[in-house]
Amino acid sequence: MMDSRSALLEMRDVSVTVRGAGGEVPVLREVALEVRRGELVGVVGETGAGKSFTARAVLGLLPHGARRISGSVVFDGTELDTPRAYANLRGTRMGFVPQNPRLSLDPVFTVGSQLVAVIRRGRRMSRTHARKRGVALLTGLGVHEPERVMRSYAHQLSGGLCQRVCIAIALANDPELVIADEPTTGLDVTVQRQILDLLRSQLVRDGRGGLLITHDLGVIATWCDRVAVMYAGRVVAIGPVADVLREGHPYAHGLKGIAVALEQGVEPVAIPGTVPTPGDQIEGCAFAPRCAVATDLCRADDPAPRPYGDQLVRCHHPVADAELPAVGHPTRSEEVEV
Amino acid sequence: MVGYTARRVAWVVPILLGVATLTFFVSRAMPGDPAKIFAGSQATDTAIAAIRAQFGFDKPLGVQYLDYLAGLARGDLGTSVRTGHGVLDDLMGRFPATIELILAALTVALVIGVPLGVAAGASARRGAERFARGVSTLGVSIPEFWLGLLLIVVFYSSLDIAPAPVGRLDIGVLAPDGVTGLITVDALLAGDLEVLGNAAGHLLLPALALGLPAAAPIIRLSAEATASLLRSDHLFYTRAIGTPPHVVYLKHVLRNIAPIVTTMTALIFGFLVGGAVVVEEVFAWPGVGLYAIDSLHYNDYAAVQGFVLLAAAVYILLFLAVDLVNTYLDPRKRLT
Repeated sequence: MMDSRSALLEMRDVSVTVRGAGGEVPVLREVALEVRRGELVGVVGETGAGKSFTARAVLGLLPHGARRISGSVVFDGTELDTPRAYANLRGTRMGFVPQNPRLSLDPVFTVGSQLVAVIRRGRRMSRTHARKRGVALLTGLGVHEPERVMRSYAHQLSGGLCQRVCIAIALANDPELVIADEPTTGLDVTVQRQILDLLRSQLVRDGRGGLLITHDLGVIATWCDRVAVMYAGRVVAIGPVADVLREGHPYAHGLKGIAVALEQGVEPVAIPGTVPTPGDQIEGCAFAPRCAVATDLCRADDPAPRPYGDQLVRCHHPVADAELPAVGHPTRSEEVEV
Repeated sequence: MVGYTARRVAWVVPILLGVATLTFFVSRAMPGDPAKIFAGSQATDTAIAAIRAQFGFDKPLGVQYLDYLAGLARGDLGTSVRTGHGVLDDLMGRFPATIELILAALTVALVIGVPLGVAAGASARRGAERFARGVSTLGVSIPEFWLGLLLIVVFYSSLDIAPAPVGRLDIGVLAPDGVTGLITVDALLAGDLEVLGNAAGHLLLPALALGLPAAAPIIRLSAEATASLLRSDHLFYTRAIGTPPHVVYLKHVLRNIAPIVTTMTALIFGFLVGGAVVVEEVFAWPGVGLYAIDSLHYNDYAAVQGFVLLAAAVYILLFLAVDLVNTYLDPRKRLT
């Protein structure tokens, strides 16, 4: 039954709108992606591309005023169509690692009590028992003095330590899927590497799936198996990380150029133009105004997803590796001196 | 922490001194001569002069002031012209009735205000926010005496389900001996359910008259606190890790807005002390508020000053207590 390659999570053409001043504004447009067991899928894009809405749509916790107008989220073969269906998964089969862990843990409860509460939701056990398990979890995640950490409040701990606590909370009930929303933003580079190594090893080891939301292509290149590139609320390219970064969608290629330049410490060549803001009228391909290879077709017709090698790209003119100016590949971040 | 508390406590004395000074001179500025009022319209000048001399009103104002301060230092609030008793004894005898009324009103305000406020703040609907706003405007604009009279008219005069709005117990029912002086609590401790029911019946309407208007600001503030809390990172995270909604609200939301509610409670306590004066008058409730009003009619300087001083002292101690409680409620404020 446990086909390691079967889809654990599927988002099928999910569209989400937000109530704005001028009516319903689309923030996710037919987002389709899947996470299989044993793989870490990255979601990358600029601010406003819809990354966080994607995470929230999977969790079933869209903010006030936002709603899913079409599409479906399927978890392990079951469609999540009611709030209850999501509620039964969160904290048990679906773990969550937040951006900004120090602000995410409740400031008025000790981190231990929050960890214990999650453990006891997963299975009935005494508080003492759950506490022991919490200490064991933290120890397993490389936390020194776990008892002291359990007794602390979030504001008394470092960001990295808080994130380990959040990972312990995410993993407490052996979830099959972990969603991490910018889990290392605001942490320094060394801690970032430790946290992502930890997350990846925990996920892949037990055949879990992971969805890693980030704006950092270097993180994707180093830790993810597949990547979904988002632009203006759409997934414009999805596929194995190396493929997506090598060829296909011109936007992904442009992003890679910037990432490589940043890592090499040279001035990046910016993609001309700006990201459309949600609510802008979009004719044709949303990226066309900034795209070097766009044609009249691109400006008139929004491309449907099409296979390109092992990828799916939303592009009329996907570019092959040979046609692209060389920008090199992002280096693994261990080699990066920042 | 200890040093901080000590500094706060050290401030109590100068503040009370200021309050005493202010009330001393303000009450002297009121028109009317307490000796004349006390002696009655038929009294001779000699009799009035004798009363003046008895209470020291014949001395220069500065001397009276110093005498008053000297008395305060000894814990002597002076003697009431009207009752002839020491003001401190008068106040202490009536204080439990007022405390009972205020605590009951506070309970009414919190029990109604916090759940409604949290519900309004949690509701995504715009109507809920308008409701909170509307109710709080309404509450602020309803005078307690009017609400008290309305309650009396409806529940005593018309429906006849409430006891006569006079005092804390029916005539003939004896208050239990008790340590607290709060009849409901003393009756409960003594296990005397009959007296408990009687006292609770008498307490209900004045507590509503005083507490319902006070619920309004609580609704408003807890709605705002809840709404901003629900936008916070940690409430999103709490839900994202699978905390069921009832736990989110009963544990996380209530615990997070607790410091705000506590501070609000202290502010409202001051509002209630003022309101109690009026409500005690309407319900003939034998507390310090009624005593203050009666004393005011007599220009009974010492009694009025004593009441203001007591109210100020209660207020200061309350804020001190709130600070300490909030330090406990919000771990981020703890100085380690």
